[in-house]
Amino acid sequence: MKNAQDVFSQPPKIASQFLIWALPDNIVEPVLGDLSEEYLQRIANDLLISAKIWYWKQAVKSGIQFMFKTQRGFVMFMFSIFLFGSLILLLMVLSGNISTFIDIQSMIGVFPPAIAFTYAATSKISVHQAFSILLNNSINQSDRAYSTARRVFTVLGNSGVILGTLIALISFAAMGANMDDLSFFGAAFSFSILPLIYGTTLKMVCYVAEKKIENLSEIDS
Amino acid sequence: MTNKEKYLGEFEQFILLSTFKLGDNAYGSTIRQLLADIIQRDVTIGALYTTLERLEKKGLLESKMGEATAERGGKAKKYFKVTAKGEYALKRSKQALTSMWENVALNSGGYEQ
Repeated sequence: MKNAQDVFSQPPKIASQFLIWALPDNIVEPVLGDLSEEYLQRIANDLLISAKIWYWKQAVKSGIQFMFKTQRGFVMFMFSIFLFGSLILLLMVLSGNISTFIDIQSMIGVFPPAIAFTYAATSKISVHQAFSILLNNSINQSDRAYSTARRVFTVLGNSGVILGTLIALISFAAMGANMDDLSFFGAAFSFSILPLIYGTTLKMVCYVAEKKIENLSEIDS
Repeated sequence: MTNKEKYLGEFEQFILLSTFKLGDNAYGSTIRQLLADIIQRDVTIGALYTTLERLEKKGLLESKMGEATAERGGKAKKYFKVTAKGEYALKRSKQALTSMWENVALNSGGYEQ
């Protein structure tokens, strides 16, 4: 069992993992070694919290500097998702009230079942591998791994759209059966269309992920 | 090296000189500490390795992996050494600066740090 001193003398793990992810393979070992060495010196001469802050600063600044070169694909993927999210958010804000587009019940109806279907239709290992390939921008995978990863995102995206459509249709049916007072039609329609919006959004993100993996497999072949 | 070739940048010179001064003990951490001690420049390890790699690609530095120690979390050191081409580039940059400084008498104009 590790004693307290060993635990404190370890550099922050998340910061080190970020560096392992962001740095080119040929300098990961010397950079982590250099930082560990200086971190220990700082613990001996300074407060533990100062040493941790120093390590984090070094890791974040150095990692960001390299990630645009080493993880360009992932950065671009995240940037496109961010751009897509911002655009959707802007449209929501411009249309009047952003709270109109937020419905927890619809979210629960679309996202968790879509994830559960994906696990059921593929496997836990396949889902983890798919996200690992996507987030680590990793190449040198087998054709089967790429095809499984693509299938994971296809299932996830399609499940989102199908669930969204299904919930919207059920809502329409319920709406039609209880439409005695037409003054509620607008609000009811607005709520019933939300699951479809969530499902389509999920499909959009999964489509980009699928294409990203397709691109990685082409680079690899 | 042709005359059209560019001179070393300021930071490149600092790193080559640090590597030179440290001799057999020149690796990331010691170079970083020397820069902080002598010119009070606190560079990130990432910026340092970017320049070290660039200088190595230019053939001004060479490197070799060293021993892994416990205080480094079992990670090996990467030692750097200035090559003959690196020494020449340093000399050339120094000569250029010396020539440019000839007959220049600066008046601080009352500015003192």
